[in-house]
Amino acid sequence: MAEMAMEEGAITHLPSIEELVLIYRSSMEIRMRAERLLVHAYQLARLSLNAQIVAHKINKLGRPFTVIAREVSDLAKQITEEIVDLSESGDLLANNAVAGASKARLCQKYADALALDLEGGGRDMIQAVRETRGGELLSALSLLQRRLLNAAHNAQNLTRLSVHIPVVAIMFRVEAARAEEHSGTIFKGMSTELLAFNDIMSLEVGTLLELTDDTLDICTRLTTEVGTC
Amino acid sequence: MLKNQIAEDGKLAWYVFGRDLEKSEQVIDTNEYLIVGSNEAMILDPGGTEIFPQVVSGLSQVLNISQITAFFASHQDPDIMSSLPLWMGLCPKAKIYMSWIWTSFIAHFGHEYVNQFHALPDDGMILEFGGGQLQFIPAHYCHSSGNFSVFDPSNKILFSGDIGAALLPPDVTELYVTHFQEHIQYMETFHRRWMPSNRAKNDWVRRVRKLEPMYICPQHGSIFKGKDVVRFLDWFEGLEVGNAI
Repeated sequence: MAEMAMEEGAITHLPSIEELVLIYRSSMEIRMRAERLLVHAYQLARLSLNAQIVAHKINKLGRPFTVIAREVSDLAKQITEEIVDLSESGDLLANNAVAGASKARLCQKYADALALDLEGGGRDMIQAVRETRGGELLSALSLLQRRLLNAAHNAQNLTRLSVHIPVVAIMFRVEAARAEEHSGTIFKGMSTELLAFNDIMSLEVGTLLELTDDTLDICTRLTTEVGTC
Repeated sequence: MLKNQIAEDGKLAWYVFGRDLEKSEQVIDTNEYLIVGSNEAMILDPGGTEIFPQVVSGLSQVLNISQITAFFASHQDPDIMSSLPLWMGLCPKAKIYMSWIWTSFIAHFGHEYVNQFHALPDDGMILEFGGGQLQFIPAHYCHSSGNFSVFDPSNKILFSGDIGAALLPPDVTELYVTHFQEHIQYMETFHRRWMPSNRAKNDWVRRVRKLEPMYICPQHGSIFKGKDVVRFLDWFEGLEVGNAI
């Protein structure tokens, strides 16, 4: 539960350490999934390179394949860029979430102190420091929101790009049917690989979108719940 | 949290805060000491994050928190001063005294305060403080490799950190040792295991005997006073430590 303060004019509600830890966990999961996607993106880049090599080997007959292989290469490049960006967002998200959790812990301890007997100028002093740290915590939360929006944007771009993959895979398959037996089998295999990659990416990106949306909801709720009286 | 004034000689007043009944059972009980002089106040081993609320509340009964001008860390353990970022939020200009070997380690508790760090040399030093004097006495390897005790020659009080520490059961709440022989059972295991070197221990005992303290104030457990000070030094000198090997 978020802490509840009691002073008039003071921040009455700040995100708790537990809530920041929740955001941290989601951030770590976003990072982990982004890194997993990055491995698949490198496999896609390898596949596009292989396709270009095979197309080049079969000379004139390989022209249609060369065109398709270039398509795969372009797609692989764009997908990798998005995933690298997503992975970097995941790193920053996790770091910001840890910093936020640390600030939430300080605020929580100051709030615990305010709930006890305090004499002298202690109460005003602790309240003032808690508000300063609370302000820093809210800035950290707002930074987290921006990073999450970036991550969500990357995930949406990946969804858009993934639409092209089955199209390219079908083009490979169509050309493979017309090609010689050996190269036809190779391109058919590549088509299957592309579809398998797309399945994995779609699943991961779907989960990533859910994760970023849920975490953004938490951040938005925590920001709107903050109040002063 | 219990609060008690140990002594006051007109220059420096010593207070102890401890036996926190509200702390979690998983957290070891600690004593925090406050020295108040004219225009200056120092907290010795201000404690861990977990007990910060209780300590700050206890201290506020004695002085205005803004009057705190210094902290001392006998060594680097988390129960000694993981509350540092919380304290430095309240007293950002306070000086922090610690062994030179721990400065870059303690910076992990809050690197933004490293400019306030005052590294103590291995031989210790004398600090004119609040109209009185404080001596930082080397206690290396007792138990930490960079470790200090603090002596107030005027009040004859020695803050000994983990030396003399006792792990008291919840029903023993006395602030001062009353039956030394009974008290040994709460200290023996701790000292045998936590203190790694007989040579270092005996060096510390030799230094402390020369100071002739009237009080030895550990960070855990009860305070030794009067004859119990000598009883403790004799007992500690005779104890074989470093028993985990």
